[in-house]
Amino acid sequence: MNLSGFELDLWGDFCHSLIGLIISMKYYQWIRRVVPAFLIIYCLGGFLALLTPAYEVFPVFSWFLFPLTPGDEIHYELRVYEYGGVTVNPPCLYQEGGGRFVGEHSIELFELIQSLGRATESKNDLGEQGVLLLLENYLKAPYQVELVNVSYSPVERWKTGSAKIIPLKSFKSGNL
Amino acid sequence: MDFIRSFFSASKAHSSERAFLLGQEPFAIARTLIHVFYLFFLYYSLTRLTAWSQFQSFENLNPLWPVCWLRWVDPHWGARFIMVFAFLSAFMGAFFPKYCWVRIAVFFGFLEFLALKYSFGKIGHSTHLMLIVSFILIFLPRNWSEPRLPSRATRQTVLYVFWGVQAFILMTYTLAGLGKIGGAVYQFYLGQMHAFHPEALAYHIAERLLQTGNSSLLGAFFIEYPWLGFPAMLVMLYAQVFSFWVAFRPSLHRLWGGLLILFHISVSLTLSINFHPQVFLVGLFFLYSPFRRPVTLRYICVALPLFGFLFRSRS
Repeated sequence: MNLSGFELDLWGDFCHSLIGLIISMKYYQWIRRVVPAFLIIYCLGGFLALLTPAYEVFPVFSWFLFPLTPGDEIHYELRVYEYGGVTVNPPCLYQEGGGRFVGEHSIELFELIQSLGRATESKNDLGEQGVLLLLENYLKAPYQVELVNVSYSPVERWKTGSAKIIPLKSFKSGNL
Repeated sequence: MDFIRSFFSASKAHSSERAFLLGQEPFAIARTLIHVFYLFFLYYSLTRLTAWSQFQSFENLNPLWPVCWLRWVDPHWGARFIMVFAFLSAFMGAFFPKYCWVRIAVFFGFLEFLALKYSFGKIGHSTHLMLIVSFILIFLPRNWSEPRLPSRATRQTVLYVFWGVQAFILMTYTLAGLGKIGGAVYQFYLGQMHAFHPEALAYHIAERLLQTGNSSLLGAFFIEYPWLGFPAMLVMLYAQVFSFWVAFRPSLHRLWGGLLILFHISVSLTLSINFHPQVFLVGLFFLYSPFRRPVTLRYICVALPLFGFLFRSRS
């Protein structure tokens, strides 16, 4: 059987389309398995990541955001005595600086202070120095701050300002 | 898979499987929305370029694994490289999302950018969804973006990948909701304040605002009158827990899109926690879902998880 050039082109197009169709159908079948598998693996990964110290392995996360309702809280905070060479009088908590301190409303800073508190209370000097290094992104030298332990009931503290504050340790710039 | 689908679907008539069979129109919508997603990526990357000065002023970092190479180079130059790479890949993504390698570059650029952003002591979560969605979209088939109509298998693959994105977004909300339920049961058992207590919202708001020393538009009001926010909190908890069901119930896509957007707006106005990119994603993938169809209010009510049976007729 002899085929003309035009017929050969048509035949080629047909074969190409057929192969393309088979490939795309195979790919569809593959995707139908891969997408659910990815969802399950990510979900399981998120649960497994809870076993790590940070409770997540970026970007795998359990998505357990705010699982616990605050009640009687105990947190660590920083009381500032000196910032950028300026004496803070009276000393105030970092997040209540009224615009004087870098990132004073930052939740990242709050989390760093919690890490510092945990390291200090467990006498983990290496961990403490590591967190202090990160904290120095916010603290403007020369500085003097005091790590304090604050216990309170959130609604009551928010309305009346009442909280029990226990000083833990002082930190000065140049101590690292 | 059939078992999973039938478990989450309200009925055969409400199943997303039927929506897949509708053919060309859902595909055309999905294709447009994916293009819009990549355009949004460019917009977002542009707005994030302001983070440049912040990275330059920070002296110390604790690099996450995707940017561990910053330990061996000057971090300031490394940060510049990441910013430029992330922006250029987003720029390419807005113009050429049809190429797989461009979509990989978009994902990789954003992964590096976020890893850098979260290398200063805390990992945030407001942009995780953008990252994972960009990862799932890598798997779009060849020719998905061509102007001429692709084969049926290609169209179905695009719709399936799109559904995968929707299912992932909804899964994260369900996990967040289940975490809250689990936490509430645990705290109830211990006799502590828990998520189903009428004052729980006030405690959440007060605690968050105290942590950051921040204020919010409606925070003080709901601390003062917690019982006014309690019903809304229960509705939002319901919306979160049953989000994953909605992946299999297209008639609820618009409703859930609206609920989840309201949830983020209310969290922003009370707790001052901003998930702005997520609002856009939820709107894009659910308010304009290609699987949605014009349905009656009763039809939507019947499809509601947990309460749908109340609206079913006995005949």
